[in-house]
Amino acid sequence: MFSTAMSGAAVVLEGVAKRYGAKMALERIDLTVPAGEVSGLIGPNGAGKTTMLRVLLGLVGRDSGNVSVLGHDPRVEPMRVRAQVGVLLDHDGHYDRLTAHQNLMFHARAHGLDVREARTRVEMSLRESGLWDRRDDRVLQFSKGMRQKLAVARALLHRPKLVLLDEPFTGLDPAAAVELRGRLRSLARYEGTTVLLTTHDLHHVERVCDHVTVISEGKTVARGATRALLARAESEAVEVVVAGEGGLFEALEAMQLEGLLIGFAPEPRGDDTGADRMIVDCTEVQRKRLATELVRRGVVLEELSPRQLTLEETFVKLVTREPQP
Amino acid sequence: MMRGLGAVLRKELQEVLGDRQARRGGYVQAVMHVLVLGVLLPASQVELWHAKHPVTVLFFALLPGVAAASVAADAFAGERERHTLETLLSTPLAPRTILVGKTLASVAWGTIVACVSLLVATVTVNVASGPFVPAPVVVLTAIGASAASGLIMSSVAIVISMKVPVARATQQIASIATFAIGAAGVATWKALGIAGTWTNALLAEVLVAVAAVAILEVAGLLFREGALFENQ
Repeated sequence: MFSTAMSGAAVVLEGVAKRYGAKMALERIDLTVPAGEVSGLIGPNGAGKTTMLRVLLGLVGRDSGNVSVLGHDPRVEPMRVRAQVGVLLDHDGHYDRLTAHQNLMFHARAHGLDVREARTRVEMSLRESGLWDRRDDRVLQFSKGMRQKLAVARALLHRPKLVLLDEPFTGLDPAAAVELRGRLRSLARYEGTTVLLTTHDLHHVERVCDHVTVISEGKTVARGATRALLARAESEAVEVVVAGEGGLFEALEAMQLEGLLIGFAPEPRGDDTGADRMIVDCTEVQRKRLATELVRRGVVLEELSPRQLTLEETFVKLVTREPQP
Repeated sequence: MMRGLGAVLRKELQEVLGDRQARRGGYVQAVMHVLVLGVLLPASQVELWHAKHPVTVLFFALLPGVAAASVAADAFAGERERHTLETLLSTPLAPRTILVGKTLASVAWGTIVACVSLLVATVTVNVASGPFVPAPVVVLTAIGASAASGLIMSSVAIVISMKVPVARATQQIASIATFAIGAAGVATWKALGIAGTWTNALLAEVLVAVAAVAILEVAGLLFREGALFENQ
């Protein structure tokens, strides 16, 4: 048994595999979530994110590999893990027939808080979430955004050491999303809470996560500090600018067919210069030959420079490639 | 354990009583049971009620159990359908706490139906034949019968609810199972030739309750969290 305490990580998964019948949900997952930081777990639909969260909570077992959550193996000590973890899973999990207050009170009591403490925490949570005035309304009457706020409040209610949030920004308006990002960062920085979130909106990951793990088809394809991941992807992308319709598209298309680059995509024209801009995805070796090849094909270059990719572009690159060993 | 049990029990009762719209079918069923147990049967058995005959509480061993089972059938299948089960299982509540809490809530619902029925029955007998106060043994056996039948029928319904993914299908299977249990109980009673005395009735209630606890123990052994929501 390996210990997260020694590694300074709140969560560690090593070579975790899980099969549902003939379907391989997780094939080889490696994940490290540093304690007291915000980490993101991203992957396309069906990548295995939900299964992974279930494994972390001990809700489903694993076929192989090691898992440690706050120093405990969730398969052996699921209750110890769950007592210290706050969760928002892929469905918000509210009881529609109960009021917001009743929903939170149930979870506070389920986490072992006495009545007085539970009432205090529930009131505080509802006020922080802006739902205090709606506390006696049944959750059935809530909008998607209000339900999501309540679900986040529930996840944080018992002051967990680790928070697992599956798509926490879904349904939130931009102001609420910004507020949640700030709250998650504050939790990590000032209260030492570890946050692991999944989202398809990589804009949020880029702004809130210190670390990112990318999984695809049940395997970890990349992991590391968000900035390092972006920097790595930057070295592999180039922005090419030509004046007007300079035959750039045709040249790049021919080069891709010849295997001289991985792919390319046009950039939106955000200015009035009429310039044609393309983002070219290529290896380091291909990048060195790119300018020469374009000039040889009659393209008059205005600019050729490394491109800062967004996390979204990095993600697409990572999940459309073969996993790295 | 007790704090968690109280939380589950309270939550389940809040759900049962909380939304008249959603539980309309349950309320209609409860009213029907009260009408049968509290009005129709006592009105046709006035002499038996005055004579403190054990047959007066026979149906208290069936109908409140059916009411309890209809709530219990929703225990896991309903939570699975409403996508609340996974969040419930993510709390540190032990499987036994969840099982017992849900069962007790169902039994409480059946017992409430029985208590209201008993009150209405008392009024019915008074109206039909003058002053009447049920003897303590009648009250004890009627409430005991409803609790014991509620316990065993809820236990069976909860096991079905763990295995069947759809709440409506669970309700239907549980209804058939509860009537089968009731019929089997009456047939066994008759086959053994047991006299219909108050002592025998109370003893039978204790035995039924013990059997229900055994079924709950089996349910605890069958409780595999992953299997409960993998089809969600």
